Amino acid sequence: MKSKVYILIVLVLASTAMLWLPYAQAHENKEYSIKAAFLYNFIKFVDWPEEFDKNKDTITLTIIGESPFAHHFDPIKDKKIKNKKLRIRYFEGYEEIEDKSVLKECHLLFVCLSEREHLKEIIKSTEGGCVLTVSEVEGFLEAGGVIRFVMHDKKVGFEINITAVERNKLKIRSQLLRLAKKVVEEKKPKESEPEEKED
Amino acid sequence: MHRLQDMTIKQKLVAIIMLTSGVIILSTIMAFIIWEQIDARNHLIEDTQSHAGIIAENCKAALAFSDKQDAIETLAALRVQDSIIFACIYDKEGEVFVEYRRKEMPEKIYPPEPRGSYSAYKDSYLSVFEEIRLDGEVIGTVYLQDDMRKIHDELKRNILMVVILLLLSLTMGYFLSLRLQRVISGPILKLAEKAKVVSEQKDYSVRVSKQSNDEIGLLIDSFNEMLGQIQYRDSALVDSKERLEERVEKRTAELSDANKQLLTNEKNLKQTNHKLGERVKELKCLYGLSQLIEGDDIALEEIFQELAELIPSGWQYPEITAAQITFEGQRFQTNNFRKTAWIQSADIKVYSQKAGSIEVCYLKKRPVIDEGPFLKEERNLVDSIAQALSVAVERKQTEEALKNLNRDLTIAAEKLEESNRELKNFVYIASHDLKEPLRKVSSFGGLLKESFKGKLDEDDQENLDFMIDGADRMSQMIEGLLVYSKVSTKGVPFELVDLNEVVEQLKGMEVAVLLEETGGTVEVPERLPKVEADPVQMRQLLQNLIVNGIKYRREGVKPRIVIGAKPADNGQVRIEVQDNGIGIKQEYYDDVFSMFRRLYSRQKYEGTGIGLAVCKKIVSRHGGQIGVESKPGEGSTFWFILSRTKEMAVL
Repeated sequence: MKSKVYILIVLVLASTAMLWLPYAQAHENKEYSIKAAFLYNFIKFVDWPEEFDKNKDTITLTIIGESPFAHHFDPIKDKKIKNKKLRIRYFEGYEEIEDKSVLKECHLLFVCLSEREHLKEIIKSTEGGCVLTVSEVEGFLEAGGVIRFVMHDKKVGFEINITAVERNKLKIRSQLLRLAKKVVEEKKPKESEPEEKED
Repeated sequence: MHRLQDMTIKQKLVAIIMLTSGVIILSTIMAFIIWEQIDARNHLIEDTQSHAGIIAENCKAALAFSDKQDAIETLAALRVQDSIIFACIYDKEGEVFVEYRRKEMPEKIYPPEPRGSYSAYKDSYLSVFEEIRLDGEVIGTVYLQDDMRKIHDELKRNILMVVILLLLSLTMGYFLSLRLQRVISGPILKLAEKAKVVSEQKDYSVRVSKQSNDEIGLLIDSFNEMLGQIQYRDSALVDSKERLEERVEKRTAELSDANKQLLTNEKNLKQTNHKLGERVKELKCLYGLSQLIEGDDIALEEIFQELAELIPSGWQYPEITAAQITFEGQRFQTNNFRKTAWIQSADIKVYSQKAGSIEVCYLKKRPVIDEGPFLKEERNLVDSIAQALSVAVERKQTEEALKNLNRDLTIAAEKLEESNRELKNFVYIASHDLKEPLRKVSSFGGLLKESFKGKLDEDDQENLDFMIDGADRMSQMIEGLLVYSKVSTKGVPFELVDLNEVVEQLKGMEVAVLLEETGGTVEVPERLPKVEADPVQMRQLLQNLIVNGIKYRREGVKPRIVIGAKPADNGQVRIEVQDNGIGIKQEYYDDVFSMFRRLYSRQKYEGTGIGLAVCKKIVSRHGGQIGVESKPGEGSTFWFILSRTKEMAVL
């Protein structure tokens, strides 16, 4: 009898798990949809220096690595942003890029999880440009990245490295800053002490 | 409730002031409140809209990054705004992203559908929508809802305050106007009071004291002046009334005097009337007498009898009066006549000789007035009657004599006329009938003379000539007589006769042969006038005068007749026929115009002696005169005077 009960329990659990699977899938999809929208909105709340934007009629969003976004850029693909065309560019990986200086020219660079080995190199190659670097890789901010996506209460949130912002000559609007779950400051040569921002 | 007309001036003034100030205060406050209300509303909208704008700006990022917490915090800032009771933020899809609800808000407010940016009132709520735009893209909408009830509450509070304020100010105004209206109503009331005194007590000496120089002051002045005039007139009226009474009294006295006078006069009048009656009786008596006397065919005896009966009516008491007239032994008396002691008498005198008397007696004794029983007038009357009677008798006698004489005269005249007529007839018939045998004598004489021409001896011849000549002359005489008698028997009506024409015709016809035989002339140096006359007789007259002038010419002198005219007296005209003949001695001037009067023998001058008699008769028939002036041996001038106009005596 007991075994029947276990079997029933296992069956129920299994069926529940089976039911859960597509949900998890969907949840992931939704997460990247939100993140895609976040990327798009970041552009709106960040100001690039004028000399950088001069002579550019497009705003370039570069994705490096294995893109988790699938078709989530579709709604924003041909949209105009800040009176400029939005161009989305994909690189399969850091190593595949022949001319690394290309990274310096883009406005926003999303570094996928697949590129976690090349974080330092990628950030280095953006030096001298004005690139808003975004990633979900842990330790991205410490590596000198600007914004890192975090999950907070099952909600998409983000952290900002204010030092990197300054270094990249970017200006982040206070509203965006306010929304950041964390605003980090690099302390050179001291260890950076993340500053908890109050809600 | 008082009607407006019945209100006193005081009440009216207060009412006017209250009404005016009430309306002004009310309208001012109302305007203020309305303005306040509108202002508050506008402020609310503006505030809410600006709030919505701020929220929209502040929650951009929260919406963009779906940060509800941040959005809620943003909305929580609305706490400070009391009026906002509900707020929410819609996302792009119109779903409520976050909402804010005021704690004390008990009702559940359902957020409406977002529709762009706009504001709207609904019920007592104000809804404001504000789109949230990020980079030109609408990413959501802010919705704010205001509770207007607070404003409405404030309005109610304000209105209440207004009512209280109004009541307070009106009360104040009422007491103030009660006090102030006296400035205007006081003098008027005083005036009215005085006017009442004047009208009730008729005391026009009352005057109203003047306190101000405004229209009421003017009114008071006019009132006082009017009163002054009335007082003056009133006293004048009283005066004149007194005077009138005096005059009435005086007049009444005068009237009673006049009445007395009138009564006296009436008495006198009655007496006079009586006297007049007496006089009338006397006069009637006298008139009766005169009527009697005047009567044509009344005998003297009748007069006496009737007079005797008439006399008593002229006396005072006719019924007891008797009268008697004695005339040449005859007595005429009233039936009741007898001689009494009361008698009066008068004599009738004819040619100063006493011929009779009148006696009047009273049969009874009458009171003696004046000197006897008879009035003085009656005494005069009897004398007058006697006198009148005397005259009447005298006249009657004279008339009688005259009548007889007249009768004789008339008979004589009739006889004369008859004989005259017979004479005329005789003359006419005789001459007419005599002519016939004469013409026979003459013509047969002539025939006989022819037959016996040369057969008779000289004497016979001469006798025959005498016979014929005698017959001819007799015929001429008869002709002349005929003409003469015709003048008086056969006249034609007078008409206007042109004497020049008459003379010309005579020259050409009747006297032509005579002028030729004698070589004489008839001259009219100036035109003769026209006269009103019998044309045939005028011709006869002039012919006779001309022929006469030619006939009595001087030996060896050619006759020259000059006819002229001269104005005479009374518009008459004098015609003169002048000749150069033998002339007439002055003693014969009248004789020449007599019938058959001849101054010379027939042998010397032919003629019947009738011509000038005819002339005289013609002229006298025309009411004129005829005459002659002459110088023997030089010539004569025959003249006659005729009326030029119609005023002529008709024979």
